[in-house]
Amino acid sequence: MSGLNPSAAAQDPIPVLGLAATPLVPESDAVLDELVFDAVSRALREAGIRKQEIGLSVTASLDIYDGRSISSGLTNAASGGYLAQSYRIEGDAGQAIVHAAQTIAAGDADLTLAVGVYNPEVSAPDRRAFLQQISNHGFEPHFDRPVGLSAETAFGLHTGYAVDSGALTEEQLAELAAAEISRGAGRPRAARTAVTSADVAASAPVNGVLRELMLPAEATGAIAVVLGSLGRSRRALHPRAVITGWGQATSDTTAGGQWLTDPAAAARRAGQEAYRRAGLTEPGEQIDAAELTTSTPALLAPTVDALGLAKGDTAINPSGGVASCFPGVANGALRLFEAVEWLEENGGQAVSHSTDLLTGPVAETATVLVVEGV
Amino acid sequence: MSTPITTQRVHWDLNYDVHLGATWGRFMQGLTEQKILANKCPECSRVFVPPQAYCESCFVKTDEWLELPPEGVVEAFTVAWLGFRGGPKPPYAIAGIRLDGASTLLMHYVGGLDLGNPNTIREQIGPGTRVRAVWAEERTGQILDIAHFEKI
Ligand SMILES: [Zn+2]
Repeated sequence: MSGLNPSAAAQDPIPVLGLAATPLVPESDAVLDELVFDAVSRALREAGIRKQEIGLSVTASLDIYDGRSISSGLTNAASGGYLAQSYRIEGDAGQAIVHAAQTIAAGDADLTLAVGVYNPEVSAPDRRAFLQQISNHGFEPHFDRPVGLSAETAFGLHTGYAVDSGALTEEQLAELAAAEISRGAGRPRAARTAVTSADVAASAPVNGVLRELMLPAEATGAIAVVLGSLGRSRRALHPRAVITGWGQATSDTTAGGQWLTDPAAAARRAGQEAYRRAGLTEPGEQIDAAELTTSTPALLAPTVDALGLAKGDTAINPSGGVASCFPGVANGALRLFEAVEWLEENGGQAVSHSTDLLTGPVAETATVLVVEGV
Repeated sequence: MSTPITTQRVHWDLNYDVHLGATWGRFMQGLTEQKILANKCPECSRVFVPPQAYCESCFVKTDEWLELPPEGVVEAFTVAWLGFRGGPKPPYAIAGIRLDGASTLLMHYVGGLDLGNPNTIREQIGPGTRVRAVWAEERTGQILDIAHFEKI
């Protein structure tokens, strides 16, 4: 029995009853559904819930990474969806978590599950080249694909734009990246070890002024989240946190160009909706920590600002953020995981923010969750 | 001990004929005649290139067509030092170009630059640099009918 007592300002408090990840590794040898099963069964065990009690399973994955044109046909049973209510979204796990929370808020289920899985079906050594090819395929086929656009190029364009407009220097890019990587280093899910800004500046040039260590630390695996209604959660084994707000928004297209001048526009809109639901009026004062998907150092300040966290003493990316570990479309669940672990240690309220990076800052879908410690 | 088998190579070989629609079809036809055609939102008056069948913001159909000069200004610029499977050979330069009179950005290659030394790139090109389209000799109605842009 727990004394769940979420903030009265929250419109629909949704407790997190279980949260589990497979090992997050550079490349997994497992079949996709084995990863999903591993994460989901661990999360259910932690929550003390049987598969049969789940009212809805939502899986986040992307067919084109999975090398299967309906990869959910493979992963559905492993998500707990066998002969039950389930669906898959092609996108970041943050969206799956929002769907799972909405289903409970709507009164359609007492227990829901969201799982993100990411293990692109490719082997080293040209893993990066394959992921960027897939990214190129994510762009518009008549105008953008033929001119070689990919997520890296879009990030390179944005970062160059930020440097040229005087927002920050190449030295600052290296310092910011080194600080995030080093903050995360040594933590259980870190994919990178500590580095100096000189190491970052000396890492391989990738695109424009961006170097390898300024881009997200690729990892693979699956992460599952079990959510419950407030009533059902009072009988749960060990609620870990309460989601008090959520929001989703999309950003502009390639030609619109807003991704250059206001790259966190989707984060801002998603944040406003999440804060409204959570009843937060002064996020800068009320949010103690934020786990953000700032895919390049040039996106850090705009994202922090868009979420209203520029003033105040919110801990930004205490885990090192995606510079320390980025498990692709499972990232939204990892950001929540890191935020929840931070709350378990420090208490208070936290925010997690995620996007899929398929087309970089262009046409992104951002998800923002507000979480409260229990 | 034998090496464990961990993956099997799978190849997808699909040829799509991706539909252009009337709006983009007209634009692509224009390229074959060395014309860059744009269209305009009747409500917000934004000029789109690539053209759009409708304005996503005002949510109305576009109507008026106009031809833009093959010149404009670089707003953002980068060089891909690493490529991707099936993509252009790196390094290659890409810019977000605002053609004169356009409200939108056209993404395209920039040619004629010395990409040999990363430290000299930003001396050669940056925001505000004026560029002009270089037409491909053979044009078949695709964005690469503009071979690339180059500095004026
Ligand atoms: Zn309009």
